[in-house]
Amino acid sequence: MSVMTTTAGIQRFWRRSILEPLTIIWRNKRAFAGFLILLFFFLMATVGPEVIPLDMKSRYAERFQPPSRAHVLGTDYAGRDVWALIVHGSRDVLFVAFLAALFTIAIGVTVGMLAGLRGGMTDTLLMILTNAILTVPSFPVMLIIGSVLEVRNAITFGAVLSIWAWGGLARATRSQVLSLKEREFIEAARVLGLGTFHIIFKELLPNIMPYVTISFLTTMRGAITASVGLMLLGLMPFSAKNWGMMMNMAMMQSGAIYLPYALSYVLAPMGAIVLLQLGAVFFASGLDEVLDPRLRAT
Amino acid sequence: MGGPLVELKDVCVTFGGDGLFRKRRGVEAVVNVNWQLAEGEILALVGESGCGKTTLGRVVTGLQKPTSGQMLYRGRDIWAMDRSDWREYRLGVQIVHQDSFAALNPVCTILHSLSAPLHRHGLARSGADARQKAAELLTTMGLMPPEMFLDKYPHQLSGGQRQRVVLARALAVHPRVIVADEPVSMVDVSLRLALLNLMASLNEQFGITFIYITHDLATARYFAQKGRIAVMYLGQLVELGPLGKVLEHPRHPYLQALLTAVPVPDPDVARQHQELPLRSLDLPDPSNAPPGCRFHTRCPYWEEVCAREIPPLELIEEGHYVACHLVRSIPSWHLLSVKRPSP
Amino acid sequence: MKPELTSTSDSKQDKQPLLSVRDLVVEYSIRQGTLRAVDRASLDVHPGEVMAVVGESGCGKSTLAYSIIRQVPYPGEIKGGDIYFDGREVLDLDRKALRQFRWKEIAIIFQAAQNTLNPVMRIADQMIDTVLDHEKQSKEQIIQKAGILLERVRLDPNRVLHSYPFELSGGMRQRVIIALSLLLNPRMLILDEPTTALDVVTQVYILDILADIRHDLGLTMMLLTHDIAIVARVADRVAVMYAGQIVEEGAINDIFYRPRHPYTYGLIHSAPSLVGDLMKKKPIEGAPPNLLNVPTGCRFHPRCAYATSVCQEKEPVMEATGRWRVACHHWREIERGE
Repeated sequence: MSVMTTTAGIQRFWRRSILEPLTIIWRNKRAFAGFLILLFFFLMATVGPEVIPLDMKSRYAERFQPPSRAHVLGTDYAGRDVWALIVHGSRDVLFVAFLAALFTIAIGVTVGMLAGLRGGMTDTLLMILTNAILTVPSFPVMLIIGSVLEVRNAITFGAVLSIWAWGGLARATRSQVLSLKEREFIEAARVLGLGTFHIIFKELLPNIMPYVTISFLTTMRGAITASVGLMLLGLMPFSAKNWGMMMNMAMMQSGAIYLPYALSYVLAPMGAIVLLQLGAVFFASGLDEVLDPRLRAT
Repeated sequence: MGGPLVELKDVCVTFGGDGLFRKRRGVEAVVNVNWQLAEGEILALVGESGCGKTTLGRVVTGLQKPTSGQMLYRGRDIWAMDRSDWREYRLGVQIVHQDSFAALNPVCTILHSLSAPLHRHGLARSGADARQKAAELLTTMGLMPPEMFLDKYPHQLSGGQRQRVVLARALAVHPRVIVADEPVSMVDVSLRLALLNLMASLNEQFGITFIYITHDLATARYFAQKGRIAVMYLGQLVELGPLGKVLEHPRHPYLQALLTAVPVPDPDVARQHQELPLRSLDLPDPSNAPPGCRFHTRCPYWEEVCAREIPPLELIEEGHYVACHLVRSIPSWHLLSVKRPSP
Repeated sequence: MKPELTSTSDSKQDKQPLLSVRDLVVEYSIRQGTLRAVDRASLDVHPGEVMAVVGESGCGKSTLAYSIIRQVPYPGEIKGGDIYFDGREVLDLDRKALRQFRWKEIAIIFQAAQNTLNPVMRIADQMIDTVLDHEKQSKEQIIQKAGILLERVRLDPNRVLHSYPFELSGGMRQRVIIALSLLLNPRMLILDEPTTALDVVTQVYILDILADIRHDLGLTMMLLTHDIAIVARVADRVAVMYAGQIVEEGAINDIFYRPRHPYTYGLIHSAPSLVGDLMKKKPIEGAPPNLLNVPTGCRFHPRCAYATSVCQEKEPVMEATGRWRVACHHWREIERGE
């Protein structure tokens, strides 16, 4: 790709890649709402922990306090500020989910494309593998892997979450590739001598992108749920600020559910997850329009 | 440079043959086709759907490897070429599809679709250069002002405009041959002539050879007026020759039947009831094609030899070839034309 | 009492038209605005006639046809005008009467109808289903009638009745659809592009069958197509549509040999043909308009070689002589000049 040196070129780039997508999102109110929510969480995960101090000291005298001016979402079982816990916990949760989604997409799309493009024996073998992945339920497998492997950092965690999750995406990618492969514009690209590399990355992939991006968001959601679940079951290193752990402590271990004024402590982590998922769903609906020009209003 | 530009030697294409639910024999889509194409000529390749003309077009563009036989470009077999010859061939033979919407990547702008081959083959030095060359191509195609089209997506253009873009893209790599597969059948009727005129001007101006594949004899007659016509039936080439002569005095019974059937936009001519000279109206199943001359089951003149041996393509008169055992004994036939009363 | 469409100086036409469309307006409300697909179209079809409605994609002919049986696809809506069939106002029919009307009085054969047969049902069952939907009849009666109709379309009932659609070729399926549409003895048949996707030989065959049916059963037909050539073979009268309006209508010989609207003239002279002088073929400049943004005055003026300033300002009014009418400011000059 050549560098845009002329001012006209820069203007065009700005318009196409930044302004246009933002305008499209803005016009679709739901997508815009989703975008704001995701932006909020993104800031929370990146900037939040720097801005909001976390005091991990236990103050049992202040535990299970309802929302107040000092503690916007109340306190947990050890008197710590729930809002601060959420903010600090978001970084880990979101980072792990992001990595998990990244690995899943990478494996799923690669497998799907190889199977679709090569066909024959490659296709058959890859599909056998994919079907195995799909048939065996993923959560129990993750449990086993989690308990066998030492999960210490986000990357391993992400890998564990993705190892059994790419089946559906592989299948879907393969179907899309199979149908696109025979389309006239791919044939035209071949006749124009554009080469396999170009065809895969510049012709096929952009057409699969809408599906991939939305899968990314869906996978992130799934990863959050799974990671929380694994945390809940104590398979991952304990960390009080992890949302899953917070839910675990709140619901099962600290008796907070029996205390009506500790409601905010119980609901906060759940609320955060639900809000994040909602943001992702709303945003995805607008993403479709950005990635596929045919769906735009013009 | 002597010799034909494109040559097909004993080309056969057979599909399938060993699927779980398919007959063992497979479909012989193209059977023993031999022809040569000279530089700068226009050849109309006509036949009904299923006759193999699209498959033959794909053999010429290198998308389909012949099951047997050779496809030669400038005398060399394209499936056995070295890299530099292959590059010359690859740029030299281009395709224009029937469906212009499917022929353009829906998520790419027109500029992107046009500049991709320019960048890839070093025909443009930079992004700005590519943009300018793309604009020139659009102007040649009559899409003006080009600025109005470059940043649009395919779905924002009309069918006729899209087809011009597809033609522009094929032209971008300076081809010597363009294989156009039903280029106007999905374009509005009032715009077809303009598109055909455009293609004819490319042939005159740049000397580009055209293979015009169609089932519509009327447009074939218009576009290939000064060229040749090749008629296919169920994979076999049955008649080949200069278009004017062949259409006026068709020698193969299939072509005669086809010409009787083509509707003419003239009520007095059209209403003259002419019986279709065919024994059966339905096309035989291509995977179970009749032996010998494939047309014999529908031919009103058939004899025993027709069911036994495949007739070879023979030279009947200057440049006019026919594949029929009985060609000399068939009564002469020509298209009736009625003089319209002048207003 | 509806106004006469054309001056009835022709004494042969004392019969009332079977179908009468008056000032029909159909609009589609889409995101980008309101699209008027049919703009004040009026048409008469007399019993036993074959009326061809000719125009390119987007001219409104399909919408017009679907309006007649009140099946305009969403988001289209009939916004004005009248449709009389055999004297009754179609737009006033209630649901029950409408069901009887459709298929029993008028049958429609959609575009690419070969593909509308249910792929998992045998032909015989589909025929039975169709009849039972509208009338009570015994299965044997239906099959017997079906057999007769299939023979009429030159198919072998024994072979076809027990087959599934995929076992038949495109041409055979098209013939089955024609037979299916005749099952309830409709008085009129509307055919939308009946011969696209068919090869030339089958096309001629279908056209011949239609001519036979019309002759034997006295059926009235409305044929929608963009192909002028097939119109020349079967039609009695031709209505030319452009951008939602009917621009010229008349008997077949008038339209072909003495076209008076520039678009009609352009269509006929830009259609490549097997006979005739190729040098006289001329393309029509420009492209059909976007119906969301129609040109002012006469809709054809941007593409018209005869356009003057009045064409850009004023919409031409339909003028009639005998059973022929045209909407063009300059039709007299065209008639004289060409």
